[in-house]
Amino acid sequence: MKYISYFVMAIASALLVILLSLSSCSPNSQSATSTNQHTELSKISTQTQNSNTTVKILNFKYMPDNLKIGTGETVQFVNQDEEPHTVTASDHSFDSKALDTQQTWTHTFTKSGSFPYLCSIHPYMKGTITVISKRKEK
Amino acid sequence: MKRRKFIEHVGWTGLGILWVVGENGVLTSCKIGNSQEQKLSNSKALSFVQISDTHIGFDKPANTHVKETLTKAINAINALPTQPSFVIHTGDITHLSKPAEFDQAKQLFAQLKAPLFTLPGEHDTIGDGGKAYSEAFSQNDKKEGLQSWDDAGVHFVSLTNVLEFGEAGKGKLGQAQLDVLSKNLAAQKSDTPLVVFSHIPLYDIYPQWGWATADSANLLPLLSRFSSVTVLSGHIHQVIQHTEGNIRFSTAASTAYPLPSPGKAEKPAPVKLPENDLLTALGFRSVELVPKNDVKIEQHSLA
Repeated sequence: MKYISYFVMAIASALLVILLSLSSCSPNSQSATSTNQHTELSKISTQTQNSNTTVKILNFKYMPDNLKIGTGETVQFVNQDEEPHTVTASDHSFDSKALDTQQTWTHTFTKSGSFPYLCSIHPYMKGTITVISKRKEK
Repeated sequence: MKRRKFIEHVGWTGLGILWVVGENGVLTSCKIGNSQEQKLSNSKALSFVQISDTHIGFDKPANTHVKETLTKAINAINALPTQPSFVIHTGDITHLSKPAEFDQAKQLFAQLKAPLFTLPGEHDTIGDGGKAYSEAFSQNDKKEGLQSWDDAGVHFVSLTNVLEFGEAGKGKLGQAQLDVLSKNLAAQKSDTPLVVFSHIPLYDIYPQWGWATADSANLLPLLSRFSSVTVLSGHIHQVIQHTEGNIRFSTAASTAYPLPSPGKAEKPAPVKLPENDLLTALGFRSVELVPKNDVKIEQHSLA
C-alpha cells in the first residue's frame, strides 16, 4: 500500500511541475485586460509584473502570502489547488468569488495601504497585499 | 477480512480508524444517556434525518458523481421503515454557490417525501453573503440566521455560523444571533428535549483547519440548563462525537466525499477512495426521540 501512495505522490508532483511551468507563460494576456487604463504605468513595470505580481494558491496557501506592490499595479491570483479558494478582502473591498482549479483572477490596486485578505471557504488561509505609493518609490 | 482490507486501504488518512471511533462514540454516549435525568419528556415518538455536505457541482476525482450519491441517499431516506418528520440539511448544499448548482440541488431534493429544512455552509455563501442560497431555499421565519420549530414536544433550532469569521478562521455565530437564541430558549422549559443544528461544529474539533466556532463559548451557557441537548453539525465530512455535561455533539458524514481526520493530513482536502470504500464513508443518519428513552442516532452508509 505504501508504495502506491509514493507512486501517486510522484505523479502528483510531476503534474505540479508541469502546471507551474505552464502558468508562468500566461500572466501577460490575463492581466492586460484589467490594466488598460493604466497603460503608462504597466508598460514600465511589465517586466517586473511577471515575476512578482502573481500570487499562487497552492496547498491551501497564498504564495507569497505577503506581497509588496506599487499603486496601480495588478496582481494575478492563480488557484493551483484541486480545491476551490477565494481571495476575499477582510474589509470586503474586493472578492474574487470562487476560483476553481486553474482559474485566475486579477485585481488592480489603485490606493496605497495594507490589504489583508482570506479565503472565505478556508478562512484560516490568509495573505496581505501591501501597496506603496508609486511616486515615492521612483 | 473485508473490513480489514478497508481499514488497510484508508489507513494512511486515518479515516478507517475514525469511523470505528465514531461507531464507538454512539455506543458510549448511549450508555452515558442512561441516567434518570436524561430520559426524554417529549409527548410522542419522533424521528428525523440529518443529511449534510452534498456539494452539488463538485466533480473532482474524489467523487465524479455527487448527484448519484445524493440520489442514493434520498432513495434510502424515502425507503426508511419509519418516515422521518423532516430532513435537515446541515450545509454545503452546493460546491461553489452557483445558481445552476442550487437549481440542481433543489430538483434532487424535490424527490424527498419528508419536508426539508436547510441551513447554509461556507460553500453556499461564496462571494454574495448567502444571497443565491436564500433565493433558492426559502428562509421562512429566519432571524439573524436562526430558525426554530417545535415537533412532538421537541424544540429544534438551526443556526448560521458561516457568514462571519472568528479569529484564526473559525466560524462565528455573532452576538445578534446569540441574543435571538437567548430569547428563543428563554420560553422553553428545562426538560424540553432540545436539538441544535449548525454547519461548522459548535466546539473546538480542530481549530487549525477552522473546524471550530469562535464564539461557541457564549453558546454553551444558553444550552446547559436543558436536560437533553443534541448538537448536530456538518462541515468535516465524518462522524465525530463529543459530550460536555448534558450536551451531546455529533458531526455528520457527507454524501459527496470524505475529508481527512483532524490533523491527519497536510490540509483538509478531499480523500480519494476506491468506489466501494467511498460509499462506506458517505451517508446520512436518522435520529429518534422516544419518550422516556434516550436520543438514538443511527448512521446509514451508502454502501
